Amino acid sequence: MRTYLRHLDYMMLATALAITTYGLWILRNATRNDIPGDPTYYYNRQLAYAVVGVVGMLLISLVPPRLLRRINPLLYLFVVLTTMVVLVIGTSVQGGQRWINLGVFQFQPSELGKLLLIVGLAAWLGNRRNEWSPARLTLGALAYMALPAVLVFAEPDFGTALVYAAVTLGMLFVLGAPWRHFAWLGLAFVVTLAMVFSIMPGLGVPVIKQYQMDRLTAFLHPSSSNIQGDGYHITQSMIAVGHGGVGGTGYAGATQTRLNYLPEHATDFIFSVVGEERGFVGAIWLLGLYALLIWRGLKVITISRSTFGSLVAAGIVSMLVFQIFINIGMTIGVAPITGIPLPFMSFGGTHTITNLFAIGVLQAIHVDAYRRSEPRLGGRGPAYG
Amino acid sequence: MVIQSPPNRPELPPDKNQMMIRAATLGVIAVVLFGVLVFRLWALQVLHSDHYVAQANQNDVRQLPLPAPRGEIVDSTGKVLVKNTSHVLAEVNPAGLATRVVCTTFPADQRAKCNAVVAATPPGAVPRCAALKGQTRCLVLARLGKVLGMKTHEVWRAYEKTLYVNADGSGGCTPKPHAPCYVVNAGPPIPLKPASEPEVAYVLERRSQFPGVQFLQTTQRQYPFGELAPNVLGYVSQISQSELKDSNFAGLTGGAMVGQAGAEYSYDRELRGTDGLLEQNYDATGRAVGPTYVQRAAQPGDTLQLTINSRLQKIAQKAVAYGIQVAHNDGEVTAHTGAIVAMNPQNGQIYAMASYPSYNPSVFLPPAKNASKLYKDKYNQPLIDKTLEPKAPGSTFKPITATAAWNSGVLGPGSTLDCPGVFYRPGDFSHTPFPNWTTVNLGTMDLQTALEQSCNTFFFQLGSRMYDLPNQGIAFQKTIRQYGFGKTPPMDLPVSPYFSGLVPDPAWRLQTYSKPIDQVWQPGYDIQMAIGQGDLTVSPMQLAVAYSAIANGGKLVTPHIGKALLDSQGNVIKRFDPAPQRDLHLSPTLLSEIRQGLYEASHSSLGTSSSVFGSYTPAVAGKTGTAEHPPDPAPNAWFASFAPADNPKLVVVALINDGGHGGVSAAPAARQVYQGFFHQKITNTVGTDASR
Repeated sequence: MRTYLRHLDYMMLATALAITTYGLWILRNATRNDIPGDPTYYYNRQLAYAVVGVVGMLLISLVPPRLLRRINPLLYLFVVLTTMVVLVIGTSVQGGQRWINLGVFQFQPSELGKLLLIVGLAAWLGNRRNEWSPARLTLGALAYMALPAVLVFAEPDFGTALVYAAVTLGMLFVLGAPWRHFAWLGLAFVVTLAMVFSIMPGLGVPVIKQYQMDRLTAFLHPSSSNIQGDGYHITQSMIAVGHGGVGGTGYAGATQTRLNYLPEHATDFIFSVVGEERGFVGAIWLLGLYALLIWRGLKVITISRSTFGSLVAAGIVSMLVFQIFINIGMTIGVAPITGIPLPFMSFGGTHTITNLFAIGVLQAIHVDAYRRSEPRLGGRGPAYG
Repeated sequence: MVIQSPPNRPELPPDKNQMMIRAATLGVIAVVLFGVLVFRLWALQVLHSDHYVAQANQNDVRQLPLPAPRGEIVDSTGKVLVKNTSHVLAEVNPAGLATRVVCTTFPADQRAKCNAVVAATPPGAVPRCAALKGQTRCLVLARLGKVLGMKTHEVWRAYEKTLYVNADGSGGCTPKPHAPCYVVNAGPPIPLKPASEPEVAYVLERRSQFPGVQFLQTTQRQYPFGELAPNVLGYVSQISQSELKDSNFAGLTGGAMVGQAGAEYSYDRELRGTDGLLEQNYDATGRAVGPTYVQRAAQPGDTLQLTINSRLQKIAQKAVAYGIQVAHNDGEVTAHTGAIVAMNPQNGQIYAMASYPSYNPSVFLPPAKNASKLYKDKYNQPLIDKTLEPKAPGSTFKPITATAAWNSGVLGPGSTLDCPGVFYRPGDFSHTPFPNWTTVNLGTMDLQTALEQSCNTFFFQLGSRMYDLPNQGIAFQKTIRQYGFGKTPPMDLPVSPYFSGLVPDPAWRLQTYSKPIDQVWQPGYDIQMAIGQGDLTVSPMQLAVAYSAIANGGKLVTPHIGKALLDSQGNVIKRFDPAPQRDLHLSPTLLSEIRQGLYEASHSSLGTSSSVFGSYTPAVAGKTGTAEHPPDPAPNAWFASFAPADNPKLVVVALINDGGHGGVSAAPAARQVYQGFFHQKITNTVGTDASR
């Protein structure tokens, strides 16, 4: 236990808690008027999720990584099965069937699936790393990811499917897949884009739903879109962020948020609230915290004792970077609207808990790296022994 | 398992160098991505923030006009004739009510009917409440009606009447059994009814039951004196499309409340003040959030002080009614309308301007339900100001004829003419008779006596002789026009161009008639005009101005009702003292003869109004008029006068339409106004029939 306490990454812990707290504070202000007569409706729930998440994070950090590695088939099975269950009996919200109603809690398997897929795929790749050819590994990893991704895509949850893909690419990258693989994947991506957006619909086979298409392309021409339609989210979000200026408007002046011009301000567009209420200073402060967290995650990749650990850390870092970039990017008009939440900030039970669990997994790898005097990859700590 | 899982192998140490490089590369990618975000945020929040701040403000702040309190109108003694009351108006905002009918919310037994009615409704519209009672909108309105004390069908009608469309979607539908109307539930809030404080509280406590219902704090005109001088005061209502082009309302936009008649119209700019600006936050669904705040304070309008004396005005209004009653008693049963003008002959200040029948200007306040009754009363036409409506003046016009004759040399100092029972124009082979009021020859007389006894044939001769002047007596019309006739009085009240009065002349005849025989200017026209008959028409106001000139020595005053503008403390900002229109340059000899004639007319034993004014002090100099105006059988009764005769302070012109003889009904009415002006007891006097 003493080793454990000594080798926790406290900076990472503090950063994760700081972002979560910041998120709670922003959320509390942002949702004060959303439920008439219950100004803390969202806040209370998010606080509960955060408490569960933090406790879970600490518990998970006690689990030796090899244990996670061992149960990877189970984790994978869990992801695939729960995602299927959602497709059959799930609860729909705004055109997406993504939730399983657990009574007190709306469970969103695709969110937890992000972490479970990372752990599963890391084990799967780690086990085959020295036996399979790089090409086979890459194709295998893509196939491994494809099943849950397709299921999630069918919900439809395009954003999460993208996260799965991004995570897989990040892990393959850190694993050392040859550059040419990424070149091929890039080409395939472009071809897919062309198929999805132009060729297939042209042939009368819509691959993605019209609303997804509209949302995805709206950021390219927000002002030309119908102000009340697809461009509305982006336009209002950019007005909110710009309204914040350097120092922010504070709660009372944040009219975009307070008067409900900013849609989805508790979930997908919570960064716009940060931008409006806290301004450039607050936004940079938040980005700084994220950068700190990512740096600690990168460090875990390098100090991990095992390929598995490094890959898990790589997956989590990729997940964070991708989600942060796409989410914030969409609120300021540089990325498409995909419904990807902002880690530790957006309101949502499974989402919040999953991210905190992910930090727990990173902590477990971090602690594990120092636990035994086996050779490690690098970083500070005990010398090679 | 979908994918075969190999057994766990001993953990392999990672390839540390490659992984370090790859992890670092991942870090670089993250830095680049974060850099993109930071630069974008910098652009949005630091460089172009102003742009977005402006858009955000536009998003949530709406500016509303803060109506300026309209200035009060007070009488010459400072009594408030028109003031403002603040009240709360219940409005329904269509945006708050459902624009679609959901039949599934209806009770089971009404669903079939609902579906049928909805199916027959054109797209974009909803059925009328009367056609389908169960609509949510109608239920809300009915609920509100109950609170406001309106009947259900009343509140439905009040709300829907401006929203009606025909089946093809065109507007302006009137509900009829065979042409059903539909309702397009959209547009600005619809005012229903003033609401009391408990009613407002009741609704606000049950907000959810009253979607779309809102309350507006407004001010409204109030008339403490009721039916007093509505023709002078005018009224206020929302500016109409055509009025937006009126130069009097330049700079105003739709929705503004503006003066529609009387002083409210002519002094609108001064009374109106300057609207302020209110700002109100609105949320994305269009709901007002938080309190409004004043961006720019409203500049209240000035108080308008009138020359009207409310006491004298009231007496004058009653006096007209009394004159009508006297006429009725005298057998002139068709007498029904009338007017009195009481004016200061020295400066044109109007003390009273009574038009009978009167009405309470509050009928024009929203919802102005009873205003249509005034429009529909074609017999009395209460909305027509009888003081401004031209009629044949009869004998009251004789002093003007005398002036024309004097100016054109037909009449001179000490001139005398015969006063036969009938006048035949020399050389008139048709032998048209122009009779006096008596067949007896009253002998040779001067102007003074002719006025005293109102000898028609004396004036017929003047008219006939003026016709014989070069240009067919155009000098006659010239003098008449100099007196201000034939042209709307240049006063500070809106006067209809139709009320200019007619001074007939050869040019008018040529223009008006098509048959050559009718186009010729005959001597008879000048002869008739000499006694104020024929096509000549003058309004009581014009006559009062003309008599003022006689009373004050020849100045044609500018009649006016505006005395001064006062600020809110009652200090005078501006005084209105319009200069006289012109000096008529009346010969003093002529003036003294006319004045003496008018004095004798109301005092000598043969005078036409001696029975009314013979013993009245101060001495009134006045001329009666009994003006025929075919096809009405009853003549109009006039009395035009001033007093005190030697130092005139007041001109009074009274007209009782269809009132018979001027000396009988009009003179007693005028007498009451003099009694009022000189602070005497108001008495009822009946004139005797002097038959002229």
